[in-house]
Amino acid sequence: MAVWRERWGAHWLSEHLAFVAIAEGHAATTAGLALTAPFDRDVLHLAVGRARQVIERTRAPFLLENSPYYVTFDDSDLREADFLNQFCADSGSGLLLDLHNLYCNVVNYGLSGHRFLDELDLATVVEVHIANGSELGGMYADSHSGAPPEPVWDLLDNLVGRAPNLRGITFEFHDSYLPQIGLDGVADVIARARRAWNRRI
Amino acid sequence: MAAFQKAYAGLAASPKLCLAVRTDPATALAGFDLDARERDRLARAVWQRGMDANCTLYRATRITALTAVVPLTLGVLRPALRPLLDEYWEAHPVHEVRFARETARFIAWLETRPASLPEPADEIIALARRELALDEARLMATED
Repeated sequence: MAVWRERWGAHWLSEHLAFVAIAEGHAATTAGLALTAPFDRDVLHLAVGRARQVIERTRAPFLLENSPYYVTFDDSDLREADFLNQFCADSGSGLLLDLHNLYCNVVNYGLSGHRFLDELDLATVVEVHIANGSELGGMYADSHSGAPPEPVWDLLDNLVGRAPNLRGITFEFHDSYLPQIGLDGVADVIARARRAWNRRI
Repeated sequence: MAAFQKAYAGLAASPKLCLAVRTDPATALAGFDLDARERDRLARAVWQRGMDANCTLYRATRITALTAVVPLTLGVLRPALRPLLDEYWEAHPVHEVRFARETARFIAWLETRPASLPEPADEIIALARRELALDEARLMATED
């Protein structure tokens, strides 16, 4: 990671909060997808340790990205926002807040995205992702399939003025969907994101 | 937590295991060293719609490597593809993130069961090997 950071001149590194590597003896294997982690204290402890290690070895800021969850553990020790706030406080990391991942959880589980923002320490947010999604097996999934839906723009508008350390907005878009929205559609998303950016603190 | 992660990943990789856990969680999860909370969580998780999505995502991830490297081979395997992939993923549940290695493993596995392939099986395997070689050559050219 340190070599890649150097090669690409990355200003920060990030990873999703999820189980992707599974212990297999003394090594690890891949799960084949990002599995929702429960918001438990032992998961927090593990994630904090890993983040500190990344920061120490790469000398780069580290951001944790919130994930969409398809399976939930309603008996988790902590609420998601509390987990993320505690993670940042304990590890010295920031947040990559994926507003479309948050929106997936709003659609699938009826959460309030704006209340979630109220619960987060928004000073930790360094990067924001916006995207669109589609149906997958009865769930709304983060498929990066086009221009963000209006509720994601609403979340962005709510956030930018309240996140003093925000450094960038990324539009995540899978190029296989380009025929649906065209290059003009991509340009429109970027222009709207720039207008939102200009309203930041 | 390691046992929980392993069982959780195993469920995403195997709809068959999910159904077994729905029927008899204690027996189906007996091979994993889970505590009571972990076992209860997974026994509830298999009833969630999201577990179906996890199983689909796992399969999408795994087939992406093969689609990228040996698309023509998958095309000619089409009549037998679904049962073949079910069997392959059951035999090799751990995803290999490097596409070429995953594909080489798949081809080697195909070679062990020519009777399960459409005819002419030997030419299908030869096609797969040519597609893999082409992909490796393309990759080396990119790196140069």
